[in-house]
Amino acid sequence: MVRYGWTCLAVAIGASSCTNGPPLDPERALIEKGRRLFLTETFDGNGRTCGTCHPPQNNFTLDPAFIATLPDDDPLFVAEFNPELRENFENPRLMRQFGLIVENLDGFDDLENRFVMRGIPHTLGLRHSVDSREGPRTGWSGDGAPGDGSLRSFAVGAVIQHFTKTLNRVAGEDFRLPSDDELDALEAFQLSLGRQEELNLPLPLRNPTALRGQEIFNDPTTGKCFACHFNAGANGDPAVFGEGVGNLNFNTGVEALPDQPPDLIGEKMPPDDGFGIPGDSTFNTPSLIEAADTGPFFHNNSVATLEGAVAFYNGEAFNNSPAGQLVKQATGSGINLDATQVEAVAAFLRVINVLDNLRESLQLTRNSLDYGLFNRGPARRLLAQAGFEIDDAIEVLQAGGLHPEAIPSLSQARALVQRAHNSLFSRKSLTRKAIAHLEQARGRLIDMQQLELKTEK
Amino acid sequence: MKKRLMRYLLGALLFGASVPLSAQKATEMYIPIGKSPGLSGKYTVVGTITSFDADRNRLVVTDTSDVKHTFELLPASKIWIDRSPQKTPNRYGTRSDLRPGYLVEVMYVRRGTQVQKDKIEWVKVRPAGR
Repeated sequence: MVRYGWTCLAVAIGASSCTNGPPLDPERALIEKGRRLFLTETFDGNGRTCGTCHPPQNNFTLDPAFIATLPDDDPLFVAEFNPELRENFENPRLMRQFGLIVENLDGFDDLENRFVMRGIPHTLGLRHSVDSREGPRTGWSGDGAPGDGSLRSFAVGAVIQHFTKTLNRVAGEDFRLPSDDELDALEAFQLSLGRQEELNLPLPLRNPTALRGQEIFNDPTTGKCFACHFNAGANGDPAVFGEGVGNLNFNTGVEALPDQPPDLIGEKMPPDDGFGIPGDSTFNTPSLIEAADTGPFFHNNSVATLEGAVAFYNGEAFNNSPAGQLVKQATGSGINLDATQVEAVAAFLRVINVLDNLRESLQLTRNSLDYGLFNRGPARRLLAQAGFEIDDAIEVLQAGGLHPEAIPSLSQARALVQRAHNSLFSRKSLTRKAIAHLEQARGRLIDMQQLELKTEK
Repeated sequence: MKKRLMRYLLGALLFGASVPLSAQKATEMYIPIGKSPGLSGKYTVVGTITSFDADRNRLVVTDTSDVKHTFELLPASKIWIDRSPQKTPNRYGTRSDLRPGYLVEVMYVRRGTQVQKDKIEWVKVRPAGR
């Protein structure tokens, strides 16, 4: 009987794919190297890594709610416990309360007065949000990287600004600069994050409010959003700005908003003049597909909610700005959406964000199936990340009162992913069930048959 | 119709307001000579200062292959002192720091695809013997 039991166990193990996972081709190996660097390499600095400010469990960005979960000795808070960085490195109050970090974009000769406070941009979908006809645009003002200004070079500037042990910022003492190989790997990893394709609007969405929001988004007489956020991404509409225009900068008047949150608590927040030294007041256009679960919004986190960010374009700050005046001259009027229209556009942005969460979680769960019993580590990591995506999807839908009929499927998928993560022998079967629920949820948000027909065309 | 109009006006205004992507991130100052990512050796010249004519703003650099390069120092050209070998902070420099025999890296002006190889965007200088 015992021999029979051991035989069954051996057969079960043998039958359940004992592979060590998919073979790593050079590209995958580079991405994996980049992932390790991104999350664990401190470059001999103050203890921070890229993942300190761009954690994968929070969509590679920070917000006050996530910051509040971190222990006080997290390297993010290094200015609070490193005496060398206590002054003029960060503003802990603005960091904890609004998710803002210090950037010395106009130089380091007067740290006390020359700085700006910026939110932390996520690093998702970069493959389609950095390139432009005039060169790469990184960071909130499009000039975030030293050297050739590329995404690859961005890490060098980040290490100098954020990883330093002291304000001297001496290479070889306060940090070490990433090597060429490390820059290659970091770039490959960052480019692998999030969606790898642009959307092709309009999408056959099922929710009538989101559908109406998509119409307004693409309408040159009402929303006019498509011009700068073509296909809800980060690039200009080629039909408006010319072929290959890519990512653009605009002065949309965010700096002119009254009652900016840090002003309300009396903290020093110098004006941010955007791109260049001195700045031209323009800021970079972010992608909107990832917006709904990566707030707060705009370069200075001045607007906390998605609906508020959409409503911003109705206000005086935008309509009096150079970009707003541009729109007015070109179309005969500014942007003037009523409350229901703002909600509709926000609903559209919520739904396309959730669709992206579902795309990502499906990819992660499917990829996890490639790993066998004796290589659970990578599989568990993929499942954990899928869990975060599903959490985001549920939160985004519920916050907008959208698709309540999809929530049960999402919740079941979440539970199954968690069980799969913890399971030794049933991981794959549980994962397959989770995938089925994710596909079911997706089918409630979008007509997949119509989408596939559109894709084939 | 509206879309054509929008294309015309936005295109015209964008052309007039196009922003040259030459803005250099301020952190460039802290990158030692020869280590600028994507630039060093490609869009820069590393060598020693042969001469600097302050009246004519002419900087002559002899590179590592013994080739002389002549550059114009513009009012907006940045000068940085690379003190990383001494493990002390890099600093902004002045024209008086451009002395013969000093090691330099000169980046010439780039505006998108347009390159002006005789004009200086920035120069990093390391005093001789350091």
